[in-house]
Amino acid sequence: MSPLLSFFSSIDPRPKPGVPLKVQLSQIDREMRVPIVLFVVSAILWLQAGTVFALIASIKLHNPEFLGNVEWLTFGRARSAHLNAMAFGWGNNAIFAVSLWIMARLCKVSVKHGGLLVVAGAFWNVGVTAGVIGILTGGLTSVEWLEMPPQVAPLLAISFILVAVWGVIMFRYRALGHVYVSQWYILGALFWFPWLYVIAQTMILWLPARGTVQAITNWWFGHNVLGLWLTPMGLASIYYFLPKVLGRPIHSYYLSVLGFWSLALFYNWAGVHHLIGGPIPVWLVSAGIVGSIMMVIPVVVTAINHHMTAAGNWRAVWCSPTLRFIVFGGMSYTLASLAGSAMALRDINVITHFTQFTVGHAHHGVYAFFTMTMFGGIYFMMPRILNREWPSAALIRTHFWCAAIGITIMLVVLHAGGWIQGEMMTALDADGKPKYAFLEIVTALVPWLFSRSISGMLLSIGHLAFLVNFFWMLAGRKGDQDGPTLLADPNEEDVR
Amino acid sequence: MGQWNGYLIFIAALGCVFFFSAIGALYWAVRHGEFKKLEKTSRQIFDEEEPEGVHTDFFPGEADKMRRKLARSRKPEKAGHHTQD
Amino acid sequence: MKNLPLLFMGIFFCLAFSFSGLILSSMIQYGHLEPVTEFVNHPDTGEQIPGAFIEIGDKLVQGVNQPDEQTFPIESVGLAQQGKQTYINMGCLYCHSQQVRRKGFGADYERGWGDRQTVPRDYILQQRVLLGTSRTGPDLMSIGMRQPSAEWHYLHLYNPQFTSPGSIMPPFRFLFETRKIGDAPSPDALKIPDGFPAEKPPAGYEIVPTDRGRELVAYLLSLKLNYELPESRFSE
Ligand code: HEC
Ligand code: HEM
Repeated sequence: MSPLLSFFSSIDPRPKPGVPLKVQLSQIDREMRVPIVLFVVSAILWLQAGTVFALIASIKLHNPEFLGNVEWLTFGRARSAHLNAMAFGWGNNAIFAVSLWIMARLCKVSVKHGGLLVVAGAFWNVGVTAGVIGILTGGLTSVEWLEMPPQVAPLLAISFILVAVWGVIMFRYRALGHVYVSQWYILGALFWFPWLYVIAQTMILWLPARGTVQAITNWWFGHNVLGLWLTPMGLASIYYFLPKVLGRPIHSYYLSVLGFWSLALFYNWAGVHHLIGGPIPVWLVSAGIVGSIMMVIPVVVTAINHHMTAAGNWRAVWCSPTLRFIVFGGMSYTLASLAGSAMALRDINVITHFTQFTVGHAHHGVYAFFTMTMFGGIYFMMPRILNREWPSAALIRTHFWCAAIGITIMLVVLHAGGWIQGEMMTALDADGKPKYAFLEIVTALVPWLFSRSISGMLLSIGHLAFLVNFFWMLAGRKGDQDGPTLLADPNEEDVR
Repeated sequence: MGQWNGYLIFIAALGCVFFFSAIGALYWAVRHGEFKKLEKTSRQIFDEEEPEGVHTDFFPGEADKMRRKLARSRKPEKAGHHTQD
Repeated sequence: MKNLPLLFMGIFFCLAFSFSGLILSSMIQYGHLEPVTEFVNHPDTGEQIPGAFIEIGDKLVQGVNQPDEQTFPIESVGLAQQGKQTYINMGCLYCHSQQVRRKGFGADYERGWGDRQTVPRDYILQQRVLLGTSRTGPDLMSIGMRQPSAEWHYLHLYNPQFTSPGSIMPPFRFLFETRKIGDAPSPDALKIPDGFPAEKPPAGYEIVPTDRGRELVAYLLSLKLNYELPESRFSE
């Protein structure tokens, strides 16, 4: 056999026939262990780094002299470092871990040559580190969601594609049968993200398109990072963990299929709502608004489906750390998306656009939905990967309550403060003159920004609890059970 | 107005291509049984290790206590309701 | 659904659809926009008429311009062009937009941010378009007209509290340097207001902008919306 052919047959991850399922699963978990642990460790470290940058940026907004003479931490840079550390450091590493694991579980195959995956993951993290340092030292591009200096883009794109290829290989060699909806979401997202990223890099930074076509590309990309990357991965996790933990299939599989295709079709178009009133053709804005409103369909369909699955099982949800986070995330998805559709209406957008309301909305989606969901996924996955239990229930509770209360406060203050800011900005007096001077608006906004810093501190405590619990677990002794599904009770009869 | 027509035709043609290929794909999928036994797929996530009807996640060290609590709270006529297949 | 190619095609087409609908089509629609002159000379009478095109009968006729006439928008060059780089890498965009919405949609016009709505043609000569999505600070599309004093900008950048008490704009002191006064004080040395004794340089020293500071202010002063385009006239 030629070396190439033998390589291709060596990546066939299917288990040998005749191996019992329990052994198969534990083999999958063992083979996935090193790459997944690498991804989760990096994700959690990035989460802490992103939190530090977040607090710096947040405090600077109401206290501009705070670290005011440090050039590399000036607001624009600290804020961009925050976004990139969170989105590409925390978010992507968490996604790699959770989605590849779900994929392996559902395909009943694992990765061969996990070492390559580790290398790809390592390069991803090197790329993000270089990117964040680049932002802080003057390479900031001021293109939203593409802040990193363009030089790191090829590195990121290549390592991303390497990671994604393993997902596709697993799917290619999956055990026969229908494909579960989580697999669709993961497959779709793994394909969408590199496409979006390469096009946006090219059309904005490498070979800039003419004029505001750049802005359209920018928001096609930026919004799709949320809609076609973070969201599908979050939904894939909810669709997997919610029924799995409850031991109860999803309410309607038909609805989940409908939800997937309507999301894939409509989310794409929504990005232009970031440019309402801006210097682009009006029909484009209208297309964006239509896309945003149509998003009500997948959102409501998904909400009904999740709600009907969990309905009547709230106590079980409460008893499971995974589901506490996942259900919080699922509910936030519904709320954030409906709010987003409303914000795309011209009458509402004229107030909320350009204000902290938008920032509140961003954290609604990216924290209350996406990040909470990933927390839940990691709580479920790690004991099975490492074969040991989380060391402290108290730390999990701390994490949950800090996160839930912290993000709720943040959302309330940013939405309220942002709305007031927008109202003051557009208010006219009887003579048609602005009712408030700009500095009056700034003064009115400061207490809200201050409260955001407080909520950020609460979130940071939660993140620290998560960090401590995780590394404690990693350092801890091996549990006494060998099975991969540590938590399944051997005599489940008494549950019925 | 001249420069507008060109792109309007382009958009309309593009829309048609997408629309009809979507219809075509849907027709093909239905014909080939892609949507048969759709609901069964929702059980794909369970296996003998973690079967349907079993809760699989609790706070560490509290699994037994919570299992008992859940068993007590479950209404008898509802038990096993979702597990028949 | 079990068919991978079909699933994949669906996934592909969904994104291809929006890509062509939003990006390709906008490139086709206005990727070819060119700068225009503010006035055209009527081909028959030679009379100057604002706008790139004129209606003669029911036809739109492109006016004839002298080759040396100024066209708009103006490309930013030299110092201003370098200053834009500083604007970009300091992240001013995260608090300041550069776009004016039409009169009646928001209060952009009333706040004096621009006499007319900005349109795609205003941005065609920019290597990097900085529309922005946040107005934690005011819009800067026409800051060069609203605040034409370089001295004001230097003071404001050094410490926004000098000019705008209560501002939450960060200070950019690192765009300045404190140095010994030479033979005579530099003309652009900062005149720190008396209310801020702690900010004054030691005796015999002066605070002057660095090259980056000068470039940034040149860029700010170059931001003007003082010309009309055929598709966007000044509002009353
Ligand atoms: C944290 C947000 C923030 C950042 C970052 C920021 N600004 Fe500002 N800026 C403001 C606020 C708030 C005001 C209004 C109060 C004032 O005049 O200081 C303002 C006002 C201004 C003004 C005066 C506008 C007017 O209409 O009077 C200019 C000019 C300006 N900023 C330039 C810049 C430049 C250049 C940068 C980047 C080097 C920058 N700003 C970065 C918040 C910010
Ligand atoms: C510790 C808690 C957090 C705090 C205090 C915080 C604070 C902030 C601040 C101050 C900004 C800048 C707002 C502005 O430009 O005016 C911001 C922006 C942003 N943050 Fe966070 N953040 C936190 C957690 C997160 C997490 C976990 C994520 C993502 C996974 C995230 C994603 C974002 C995004 C996407 C933006 C850009 C929003 C926009 O421009 O509209 N944040 N955050």
